[in-house]
Amino acid sequence: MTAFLWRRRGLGVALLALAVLPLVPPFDAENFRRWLVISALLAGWAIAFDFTAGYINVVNFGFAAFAGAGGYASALVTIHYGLPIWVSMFAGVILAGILGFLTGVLTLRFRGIYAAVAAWFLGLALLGITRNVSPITRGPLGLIVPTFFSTDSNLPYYYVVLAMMLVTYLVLKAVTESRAGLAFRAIGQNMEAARASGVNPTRYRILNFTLSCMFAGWLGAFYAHYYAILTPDVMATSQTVQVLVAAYLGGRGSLWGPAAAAFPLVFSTEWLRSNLDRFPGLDLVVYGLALILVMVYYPGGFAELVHAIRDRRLRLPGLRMRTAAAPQPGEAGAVLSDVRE
Amino acid sequence: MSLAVQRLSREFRSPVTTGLIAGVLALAIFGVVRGGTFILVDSLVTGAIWALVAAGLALTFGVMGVPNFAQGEFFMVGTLSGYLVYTALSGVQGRPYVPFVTILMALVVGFVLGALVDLAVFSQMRRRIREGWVMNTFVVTVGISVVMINAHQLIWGTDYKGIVAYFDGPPIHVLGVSVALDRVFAISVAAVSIAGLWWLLSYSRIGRAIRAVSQDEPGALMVGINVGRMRTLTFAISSGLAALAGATLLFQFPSFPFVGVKPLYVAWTVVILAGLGNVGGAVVAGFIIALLEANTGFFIGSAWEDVVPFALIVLILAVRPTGLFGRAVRSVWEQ
Amino acid sequence: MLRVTELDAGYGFLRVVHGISLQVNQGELVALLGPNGAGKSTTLKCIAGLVRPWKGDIAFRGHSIGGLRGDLVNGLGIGLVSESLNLFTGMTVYENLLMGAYSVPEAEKRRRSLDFVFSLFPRLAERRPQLAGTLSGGERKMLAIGRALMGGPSLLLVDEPSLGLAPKLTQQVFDALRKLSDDGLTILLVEQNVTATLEMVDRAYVLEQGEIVLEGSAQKLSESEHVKDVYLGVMA
Ligand SMILES: Nc1ncnc2c1ncn2[C@@H]1O[C@H](COP(=O)(O)OP(=O)(O)OP(=O)(O)O)[C@@H](O)[C@H]1O
Ligand SMILES: [Mg+2]
Repeated sequence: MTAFLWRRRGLGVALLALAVLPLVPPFDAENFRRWLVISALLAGWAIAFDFTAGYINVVNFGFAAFAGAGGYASALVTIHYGLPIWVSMFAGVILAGILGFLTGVLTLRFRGIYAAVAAWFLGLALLGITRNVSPITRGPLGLIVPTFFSTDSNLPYYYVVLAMMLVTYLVLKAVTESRAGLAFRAIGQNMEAARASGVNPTRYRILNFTLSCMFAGWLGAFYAHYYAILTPDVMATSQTVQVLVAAYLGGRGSLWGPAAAAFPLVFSTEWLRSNLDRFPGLDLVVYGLALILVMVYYPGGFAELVHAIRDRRLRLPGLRMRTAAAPQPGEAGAVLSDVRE
Repeated sequence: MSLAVQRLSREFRSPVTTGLIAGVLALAIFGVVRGGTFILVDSLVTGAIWALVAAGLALTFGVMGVPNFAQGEFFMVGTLSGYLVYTALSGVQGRPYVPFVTILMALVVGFVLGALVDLAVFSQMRRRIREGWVMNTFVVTVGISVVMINAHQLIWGTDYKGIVAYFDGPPIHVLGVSVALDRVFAISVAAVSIAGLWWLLSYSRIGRAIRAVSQDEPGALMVGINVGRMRTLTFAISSGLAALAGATLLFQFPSFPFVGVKPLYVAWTVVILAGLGNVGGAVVAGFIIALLEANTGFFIGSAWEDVVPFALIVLILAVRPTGLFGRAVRSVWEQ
Repeated sequence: MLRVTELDAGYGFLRVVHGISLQVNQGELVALLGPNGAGKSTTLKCIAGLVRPWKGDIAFRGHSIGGLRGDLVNGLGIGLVSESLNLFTGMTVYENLLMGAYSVPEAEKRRRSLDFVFSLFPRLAERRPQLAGTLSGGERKMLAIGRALMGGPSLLLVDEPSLGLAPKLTQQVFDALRKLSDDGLTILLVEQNVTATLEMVDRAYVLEQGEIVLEGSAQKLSESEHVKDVYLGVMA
């Protein structure tokens, strides 16, 4: 346990910084604090998303629908049964977990793009249902949801969501560093080979989906009780796209990369939105372009960049030897032939 | 032709396919008997257009391995350029050739834009990316979609830019249903384009080269095909078809940033139903989905039009992961 | 006609071909022999533009073609029959042959090539409307050679035509190659079937672990101790 924590001292520093950030100017302004809340929420979701995309290599394109379902479950339980929010949130966890479990089962036979699209369609069906059962969800009119605190300040919300993000990270990280994590990576790389070497892909894929969706639903519940109003739009594909952008810009398969990317991402888009409001849509154009540029030129994302910087500092001579011994790969050794052999 | 027949007869040997076709026929008959012939006519018109959008999607995937999330945005580009061209021609509106000029311009705009996107994005990625091509390009197309939607908003705003109708003559009567001239126009455009695409892919030199690239890339290089150019062309054709569909349906789908969402969903449903990369199957599946939607809309309520097909597709996928007509999908495509 | 000098090639960090040089003159039938993994296919792919060479030069009719894209190399008149054949399995035999003549604009020329291929491999004429994916192994090989000939190449590169064929079929394919060569086509052939190859070719190179270890006339090589020991299995 101490070793687990010691290896995370970088995380400790980052967290400390994030914890004091809303207290130092200029970040102590309410709108910056609001951006921080949004960032931490997106970071948490991006971690849960990366847990699937970066490990078992399945893009859960219905992610927002599961998160939103968690939000609705928590909201409805507080509204109808008067339970405290801290308790009702677990209704969100359970519902999202069940949905994740079912999705895991349904998409089991698919790989790659088929799994992504199957999850997407499930999400769209969920969204459609939520929109249509308006007696319960009030449909597009929106459901009024009780909030955590009666204050207008974003500060308490920020610490709540920061803690939730931390828990999400620590739990999922611990899972990926256990035997299950190895199994995830194995089935993510090659399902048949994993099966042949004794990993049961069925079990691990379902486990992964369930866990990821549980955390998505938990954070979805936070969303509901923070914004105080829920519309089916929270489950829309565009919402998934936001999470996906953070995860891919941050770098898949690291968990911390997506979380780290969420903060600058939210801040830059919110800044663009509030300062360039004469140009509606410009923020998202920039956002889309950033995604395209990163995917084309540096698909490893931010996490890969950090690794590269660190490794180069540690093993510079080795690297030089390698480049001297063999011609550069990339350009000169490019293999044109075996794309589909 | 003999090829298509060979393949079809092979597919009909599968009980699942036969059962599904029978089910669709039953649904069609049921719809017509209980709801009226307009359900059939309706499905034919929308089905033809969806087939057009979906065929492009299937083509891009089959040839380039790109699962295009931005296909709906090329439909949007079609509606937009259709609207801009049509209003620019306001002086001569009413002349019978104007709608044709309009949709042709949309086709050209979609084609050129598609070619540019391929050159700027996918060709660059080809040089760099060795693994995870399918998922990486999928994410990139998500980015392209975001950029296109918001560029539309940035430049032309969010209001609806539509027209009442291309043709204002009296509707014609088919099977006891009156069909507006615009819908006759739409179905004719779709039929001609699908026939054209089919001819292009089956018999033309370029079409054969495109198929060659989809079947064996090194093989295509070995016989002297400029593979990169074929990919660009493929993406351009599929974008052009989507834009053509958008301009043709402008009377029903006024242009606004998010107009591509619906066609995107439908096209993906169709393509998954048909099996990714299967262009011929996409055309058939286009009609199936349209029929399903028309029936759902009539018997359950139009709010459920989207939900039922999605749920059904997931169920079909659970039974047949490669889609209705899909053969065993090659492993490269599953990355 | 073809001159390869000091060619280096490989994949990623792995160098497979180490500075080999070879030459094929107009009208010759030359073999490149060697054990599995020696780098024979890699060499052919470099010449055909499917793998980019790291270093060295490849000259065809005096023009350097090293690093040129495969479709352009094909356009210059180099045909390749690869190990995996790379047929278009979803197309018919006829369509595959037609694709072989993709860069031949004259219909008349295409028709003559087609007649020639059908006379060389009458079997293909019988199978004309059949999908390439459903052909037998021998028929596929014929189709791949036929497809390469359709482009009217002046240099034909053939990678292990005997692979997976019964001796009788191998002999048929070899006879066809010999006939092509006698008609004036220049051929570079990669083979492992050393005995049969040396009986047919004019000259040969022996490639081991990415380096040329022996070269010379077929006569000279079949008498070489090294070839006898390693490839012909003759006990000294
Ligand atoms: N696409 C590739 N990526 C990585 N390594 C490769 C690739 N193709 C070939 N190699 C390696 O290069 C070496 C030489 O391969 P090559 O195919 O040229 O041998 P070969 O002489 O043709 O052998 P064989 O007679 O078995 O066909 C082998 O060790 C092989 O594993
Ligand atoms: Mg070989």
